[in-house]
Amino acid sequence: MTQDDARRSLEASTDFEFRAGRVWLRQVRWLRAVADLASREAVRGAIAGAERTADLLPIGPSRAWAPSGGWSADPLP
Amino acid sequence: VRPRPAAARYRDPVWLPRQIAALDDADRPVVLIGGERFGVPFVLDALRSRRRTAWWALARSAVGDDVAQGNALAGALNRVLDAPLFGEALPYTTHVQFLRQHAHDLRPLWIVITTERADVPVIADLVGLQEAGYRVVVDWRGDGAPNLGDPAFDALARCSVRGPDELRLTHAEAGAVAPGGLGAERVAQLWRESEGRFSDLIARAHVAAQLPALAVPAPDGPLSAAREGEGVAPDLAVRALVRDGAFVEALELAVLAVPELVGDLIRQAGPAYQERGLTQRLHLLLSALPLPYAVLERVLEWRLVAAVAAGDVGAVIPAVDAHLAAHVAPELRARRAGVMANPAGFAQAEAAVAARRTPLTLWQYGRLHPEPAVAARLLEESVRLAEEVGTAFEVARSAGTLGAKLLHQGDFARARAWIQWALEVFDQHQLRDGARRLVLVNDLAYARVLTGDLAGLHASLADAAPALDGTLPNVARLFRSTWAALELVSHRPEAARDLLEPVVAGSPRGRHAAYAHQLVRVWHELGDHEEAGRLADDAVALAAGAGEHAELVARLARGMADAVGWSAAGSDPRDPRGERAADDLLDVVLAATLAAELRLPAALHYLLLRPDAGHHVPADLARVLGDLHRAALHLFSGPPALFEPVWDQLRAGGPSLRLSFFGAGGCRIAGEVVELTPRMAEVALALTLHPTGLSRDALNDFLTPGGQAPFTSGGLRGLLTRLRSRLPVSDAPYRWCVPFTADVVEVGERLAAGRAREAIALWQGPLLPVSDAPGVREARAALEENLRQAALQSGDPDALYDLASRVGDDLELWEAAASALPTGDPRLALARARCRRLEHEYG
Repeated sequence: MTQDDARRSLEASTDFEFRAGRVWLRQVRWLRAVADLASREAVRGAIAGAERTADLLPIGPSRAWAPSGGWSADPLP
Repeated sequence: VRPRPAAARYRDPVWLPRQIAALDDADRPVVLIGGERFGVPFVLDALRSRRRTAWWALARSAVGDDVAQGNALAGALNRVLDAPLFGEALPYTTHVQFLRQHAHDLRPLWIVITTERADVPVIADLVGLQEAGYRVVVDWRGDGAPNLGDPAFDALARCSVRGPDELRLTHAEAGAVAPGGLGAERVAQLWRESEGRFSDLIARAHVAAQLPALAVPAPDGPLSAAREGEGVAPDLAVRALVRDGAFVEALELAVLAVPELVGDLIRQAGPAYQERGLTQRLHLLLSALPLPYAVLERVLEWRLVAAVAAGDVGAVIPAVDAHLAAHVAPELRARRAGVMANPAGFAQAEAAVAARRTPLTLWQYGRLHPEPAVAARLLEESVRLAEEVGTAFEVARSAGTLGAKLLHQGDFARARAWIQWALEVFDQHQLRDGARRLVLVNDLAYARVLTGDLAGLHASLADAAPALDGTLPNVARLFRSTWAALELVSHRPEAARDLLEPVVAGSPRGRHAAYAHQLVRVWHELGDHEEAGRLADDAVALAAGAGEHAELVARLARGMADAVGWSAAGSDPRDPRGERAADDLLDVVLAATLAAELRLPAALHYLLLRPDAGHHVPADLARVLGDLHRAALHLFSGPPALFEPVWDQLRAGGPSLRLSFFGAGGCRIAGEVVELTPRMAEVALALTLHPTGLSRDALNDFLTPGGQAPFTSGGLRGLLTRLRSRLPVSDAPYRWCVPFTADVVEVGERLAAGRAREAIALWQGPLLPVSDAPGVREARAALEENLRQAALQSGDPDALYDLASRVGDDLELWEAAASALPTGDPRLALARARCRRLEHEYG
């Protein structure tokens, strides 16, 4: 079986449906997993963005959590 | 009086109960034509909540893949039965046969399939289950209405059709299903706009009432409403599917849209496909993968596994070899070793394990290692490592292979322990590979036959084997051959013959002799040495050119036939069969790479021919021979009358009088069969149950039913004189004059020692079943009650299940079996079903 033959056969028999480059999902369980993952990634992105911004400042939360330095004695998490 | 149809009882305008009642009333399978728009998923969901219903969907990807269909059907059945009765990785036809075989216990049960296709065999096979008493519904989702006149739709044409007209809501029903507060006029308008289609009406009504859309029921969990699906970026979707544990679907999506994720994903998805027997689909997926992803090391590993399973290795082998030429790749190398001829394969496996010791590399090296002790050590290490760093599947695989290796070597007791362990891991972790599990079940059964542990075996083989016929022919042949071995050691040679004849007739040429030699053994037990000789000659003719192994096994068959034929005909030195048999058998005895199950019968038949040539038997085989359980000795030998001297030589001593009172019964003294009349058998039982002796009056009481005239003094004396002419019986008090063994005594000893499992295995059925003598009746009832109590007290699931199956409708035993069987055991569902039925019957 060539790769092209296999690809054609796969596309003809898959249960996935694509619309405009996106995969169309209806399973509630999967959509929940997508939403959960997307929201976690959004939060992670926001934290990374905040840290990048903070790095530009003379002092900030990321420095405060460093093992030594001005704020390290504070009972931070 | 014909009962009023359920539909007529629903005069209230309630749509769902009307639909359910119509399904209840149908006297044929039903096809629902209307799909989601007409609310069929809601009807099926309601059916599922009110009746025991296994609902599954035929996915597009499963069309043409009997195993994928089997997995979906098994999942639905196990969910409704709340037990893993149906394994995965098996074709759906196996499950359909099992459903037919166990209809009595599994009904009432509705089986529903949602499908876009009607021209696939599974639809006709499911519709056919209605004849077995199941209720069958086909939820048609194809384009447009099916053309029931078209032969492709034959299966649906056998169904009662409920189409849009029957599924449409009435005006009054619309009022009942619409959210409250919309007002009658608004509901009427929505009903007209939706033309009575349930889902359309509900969707519009929910929008109007500003309610969230209703999820749509489906076999594997709800779907969002048709208009509320979501287009998701494929990479995010793949990661979400992985989070949900849907590795099979995740890999398919990744191959289609995000191939760069396949390299990481295959680590989890590969085993998931393998475990579910979806190697055909895996082969298609990985064949569709573009470069460079197709030649990543881990992808190549699974491409090789899938290609081997699909029998299409042409494209992958060069890619694997090119990779191995430039990389160490221990696991890929170990996989490659498995599909190479020896000695190259062994060298690859050795190189793989030298590079890294993993459960896989050790497993392959151990599997291929020719030195038995080293092979066993390697496989044990593989099990240990799998327990530390591997998966449950790897533990089960290595333990199962170790068990098979030990079986091959003749270490039956250790084999049994390891295979049992593999099976426990399988069930505890609910591993899905049903085909692999069946091989373990078979190997365990065989090891148990050879170690004389027969409790529960008959039921488990008889339950599994018929469902495999025509669906997994190789596994079915294995099961029937093991089952035949069980029948033979249980003194039912006719049953063994009936099982083996079709196996021999249907086996491929390379395997023909392996089954033929077993059937030769059975013909000997039945006393038909001519038939055994004919079969053996055929086996030799068919094995010519089929390879050295097949030829050697065929010579074993001929050697066995000649040895027994020669001995039974008087051991005439001029009879050429004697010499030829000795040559054939000694070659098999000396072939160290052959399995013990072939070398042992060769050795026993050789000793029959040459009682003084025991020194020709190699020491490793002689050790195994000396330790053989009586059941194995019986299985591998021939008619006891001929082989007693050989057994005595191995046993060196032991009682010479052997009595059997279960089932057909029997008696031998010094290896010679002694025929007893029914009355003599009753006397023999009386003497056996009273080893210190029995007075004339006591014997008379034992034999004579109440209300009948007792034996006269002369009559009893005459009976004893006739018995004494055949067996050594003392004067009064009557007792045996020689040491004896008897099956009834052995069962009693096991019971007294609290070994219920062994006692039940030895119990072959009622004591002298046709006898009406009061002593026999009393002993029979007492023994059966003792067995029952012992099983109940032991709590041993095998003992309980075996006894419950053999006794029949004893609710207490079935309840105890259901309580004792562990959650993962497939027999649990059958035991529960039997309890349900008996509770119902007993009111």
